[in-house]
Amino acid sequence: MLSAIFCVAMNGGLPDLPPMQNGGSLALDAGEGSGWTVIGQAPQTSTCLVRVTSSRAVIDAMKASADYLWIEDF
Amino acid sequence: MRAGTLARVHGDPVSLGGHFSQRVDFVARQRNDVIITDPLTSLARWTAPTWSIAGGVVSNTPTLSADILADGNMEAVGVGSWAAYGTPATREKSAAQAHGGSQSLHILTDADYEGAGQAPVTVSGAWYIYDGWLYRAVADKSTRIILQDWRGWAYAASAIDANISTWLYRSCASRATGTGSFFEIICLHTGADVYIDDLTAKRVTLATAFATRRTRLQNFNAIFPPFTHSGLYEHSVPVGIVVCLDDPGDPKNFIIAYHNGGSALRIEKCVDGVYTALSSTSVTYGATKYLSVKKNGDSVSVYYATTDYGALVATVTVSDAAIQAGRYLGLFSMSPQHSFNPASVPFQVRLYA
Repeated sequence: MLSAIFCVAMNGGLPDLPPMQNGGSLALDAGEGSGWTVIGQAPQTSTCLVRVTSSRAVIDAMKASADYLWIEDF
Repeated sequence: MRAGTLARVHGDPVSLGGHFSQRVDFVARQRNDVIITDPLTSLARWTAPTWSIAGGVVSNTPTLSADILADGNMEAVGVGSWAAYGTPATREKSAAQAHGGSQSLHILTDADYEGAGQAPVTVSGAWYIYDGWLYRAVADKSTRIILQDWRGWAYAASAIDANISTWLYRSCASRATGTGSFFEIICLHTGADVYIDDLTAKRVTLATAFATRRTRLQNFNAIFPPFTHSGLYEHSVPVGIVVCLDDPGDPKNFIIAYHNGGSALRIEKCVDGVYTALSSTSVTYGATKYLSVKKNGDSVSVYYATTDYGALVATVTVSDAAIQAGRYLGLFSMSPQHSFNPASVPFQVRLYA
């Protein structure tokens, strides 16, 4: 399990993390303890900093995606 | 007074500068002093309009609005109210099975992710309970009721292959975004043969989802009784706790931490009626596990374990003044499918330590 911090868009009050199709959550698929936490959000902005804890595959996929700005490993 | 000094003055005259004296009655409290210990044998001291205690178990049946679905009982002629999701091989009203009345909606799939749904008119930010009955004619463990809102933020799934040829009650809850709300029944795999009946979608009166007590504390440690599920992934309706609530009669500012009925423990804040998701963490549900919270200033830490403050789920930062001013905390549930068991772990609030 790895953790990394990303700058992520906010969408409807929810961080725009990898698609959660039909109730699934990619960031949560790595088992107990995996998930995400918003660690910073400036008022009136549409982005936030999120610490994501998940499998290496999920973290690497997010790093490679243009939708998420990787800040640092945690 | 020096920190750590236990000073108790009960009704003793105290000289104040020699100009006057005044009878003082106070207890200088220290860190970790117990403020509330409540075994929840009575709700007399709680604001909990729709909550009840039976057999030592605390549960809630919140107030719901009228049903907003069209043809939820499936008795109308034709499937006009139920649009196709994907291109199911069959989408028809059928008298072969019926939970209530004389017919149900019959879906046969020939590809993954097919089903039917409709877009009810919802109020942005409001919580809705979606429920209904499923009947699987063939073994397929993947038939789900899903509210396709919040990208799957809530859903419910029928459980196991063994549950075929019987009607199963399922429910889920979600907040409406106001745009794109779509209630649907999706069969996740090809070859599904299901019947659906007696669906409803009802708005929850939020004030009735909470059972709270007031404290005067801005910073505190709190322990909440364990919650129980009637079935994971069967009723994906929030159950958990609320802290920093401003007004139990008209809740607009608060923090909720809840289990989603599946595998996630979520933390959200609501500021002037606008929700922001703060955390979602995969946890393993346990009937003897319970939530505990430490709040110190802007920092709110949530734990879920079989011990007090045992396993940290997440620490979030919430600086909103309206939430910092909230002084009510307690239980959060939207369905009688869940309950709290205070026999082993009573509700307790202490000064922050």
